[in-house]
Amino acid sequence: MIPHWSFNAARPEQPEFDRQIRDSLRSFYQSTDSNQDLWFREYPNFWRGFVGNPDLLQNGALKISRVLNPTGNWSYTVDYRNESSGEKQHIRFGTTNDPLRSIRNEWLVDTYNTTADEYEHYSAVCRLDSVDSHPGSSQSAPEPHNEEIGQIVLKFEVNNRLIRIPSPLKDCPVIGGYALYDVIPRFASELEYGIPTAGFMVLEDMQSLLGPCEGRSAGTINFDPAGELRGVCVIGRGYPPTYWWVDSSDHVVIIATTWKTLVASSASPIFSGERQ
Amino acid sequence: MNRPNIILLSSDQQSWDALSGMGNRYVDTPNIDRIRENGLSFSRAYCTNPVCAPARSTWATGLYSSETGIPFNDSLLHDDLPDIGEILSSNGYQTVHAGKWHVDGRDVRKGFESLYFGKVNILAGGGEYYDGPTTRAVMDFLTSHRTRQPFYLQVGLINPHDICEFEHLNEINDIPDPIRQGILNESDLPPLPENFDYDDRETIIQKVFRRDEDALIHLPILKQARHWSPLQWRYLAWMYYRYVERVDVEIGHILSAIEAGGYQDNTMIIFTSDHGEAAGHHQMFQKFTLYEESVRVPLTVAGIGNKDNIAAPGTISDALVSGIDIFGTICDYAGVEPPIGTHGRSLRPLVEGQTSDHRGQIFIENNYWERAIVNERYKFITEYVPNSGDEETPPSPETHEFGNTQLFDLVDDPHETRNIAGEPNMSHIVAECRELLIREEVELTRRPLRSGAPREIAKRWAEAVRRGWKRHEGTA
Repeated sequence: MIPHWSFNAARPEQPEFDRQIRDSLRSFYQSTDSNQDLWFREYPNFWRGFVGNPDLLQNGALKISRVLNPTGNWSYTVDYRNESSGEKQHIRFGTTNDPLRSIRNEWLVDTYNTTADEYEHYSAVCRLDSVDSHPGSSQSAPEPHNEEIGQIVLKFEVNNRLIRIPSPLKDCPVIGGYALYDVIPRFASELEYGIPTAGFMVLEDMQSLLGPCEGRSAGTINFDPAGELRGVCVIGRGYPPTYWWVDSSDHVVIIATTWKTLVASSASPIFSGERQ
Repeated sequence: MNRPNIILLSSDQQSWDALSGMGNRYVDTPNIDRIRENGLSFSRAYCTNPVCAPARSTWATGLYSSETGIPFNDSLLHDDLPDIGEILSSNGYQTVHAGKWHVDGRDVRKGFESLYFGKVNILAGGGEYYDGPTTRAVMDFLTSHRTRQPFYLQVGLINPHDICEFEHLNEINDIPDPIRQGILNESDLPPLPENFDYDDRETIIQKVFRRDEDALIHLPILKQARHWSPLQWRYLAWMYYRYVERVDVEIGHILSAIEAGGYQDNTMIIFTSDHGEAAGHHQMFQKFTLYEESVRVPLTVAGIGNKDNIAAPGTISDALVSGIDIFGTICDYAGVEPPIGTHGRSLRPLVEGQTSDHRGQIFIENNYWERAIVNERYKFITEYVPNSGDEETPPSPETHEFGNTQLFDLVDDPHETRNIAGEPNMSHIVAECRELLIREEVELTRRPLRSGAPREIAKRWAEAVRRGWKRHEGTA
């Protein structure tokens, strides 16, 4: 059985794609690790990450840890590495315990760049505010002329400078991109019963507000060794269709974007070493 | 503004009208629109060659692609040509690069400090991989830069180029029908373009490269596209607009970082794209054609803070301008004399309201042998017929015969649906346009392609075009 078209990147240049994504899934289902962390291996859909060795098709890795605090809120810690971009990210953010895991202020994005370039490290302390009034000239950042009362504004403190990024969207819940891994199974269940998802914004990479987005049913498929998978297609402004596949235990096990396929796996080091 | 900071901010594969500010209600680009509100935009801006590397070699050198050594992708820049980074860095500017460069044969680090260029140097595509890191590198630079030296920062964002990879994925998977799947409603999709049905009296080059059963460009996609339903074509355009919106978000981050860094009052921003995207127009995908959707691009010169040097912020000029003018404009703002032999005219007099006239015609090259002239009213497309055995030097009127022609009246037929080149009352227009083309061509300094792959490609293509001429003999 070939992979579903939404994650079928088994083209001639990467003949190992099919076997490797199934191996990753097997490792996930065979894992005896009792902790609740989510592990994903990233595989390239189109180019093989310029690595040139089918044995090393994996092009990145993602680990999402989250704990429910005594306060009743969730704390997320994310480690992501991509071998094409060269970035390693460490992200910490919090959410409420509502069904959409709404983002709580403030969060931290730490990125280390491993390419042979001058950009080495980007660290941002991030907040999400609404514009209640125009800031006065005493603010450290210049007074923006493009913000409207009621707008959402992303604020990044980078190198002790405040970057204010207005978003045109109002009155829309914001889901941290890495919290979608916990929200999508609920969407899959609701869509199964014909309940449409409410509009939401996705905070992609915890840096870019995309949307409003919606989840639409992508039907069901069978894919060994995961068995029956329910599909949720997330679409929205600035958010090309992304296909999320959820198994019968409500685990997101495959996510396919234009460039990459993320597949659930057992706990494993992000990478054992630098690629050549 | 004396020797301002200059930012060349580019998207990749964005058509002139793929923005909400142009009245396109199927895409939402508030950040690009913000640049436009703060500058002079050009509604008739054309690239010099509707392919990434050739168009970018023009930005880098101020020369047409027949002169740079890069008349098509995978050819190489001539070693001795200085690039804009080298020129400005030797004239007091800090020159900084982030993102896509795609001027093959020239290490961007020769003339620039590289903020970010990928784990392995960024090639053609990969917005999803590289645009985020590029933006973070630029935000880090703009919030930590401390020297008094003015900077020239070129930011090569890749999206909406990811539409190419969406198409490549569908070489092996049929493009989904989102309506049948229940993913989208038909009303979500843009309509089929007015010129979806096209006049097939095209050049032989267009047929051989883009239409034939053995087309030279992206044949696997073409084979799939032949079976796409109208809804699937419309879905392609819908997808394209999502990638446009994605890059618009990155642009918003960069604009905000310019403000956070305190550069809004002393920085000129030039926003443009290397070429457009067909997205179903003329039943075509991607670029590599001379139709408007492929060669016409957004272009704005703006300052998001102090606008003393912009005569009419937020206005749109219908002056004919070209990608060849980018190099001269950057040199002009930097107070640097462009090297002898470069072409192009600075856009600064237009931006400052000193004139509303710029150039009488636009000259465009494509697929090595194809050429276009665009003037106030007409677009004239023609081609050179490959000679036997001399493909190493780009063709010219002195060495090659002209082949087929297309003529479009852009006033009466803005979507280029009717080739009027053969109409008797148009023969004088065809002759005039051919004369304009020759006048442009004689200004060029052509040299043989660099050895190796570029010459091999030209040779292989020439053989295919010669076969195409035999196959299509007698067609318009």
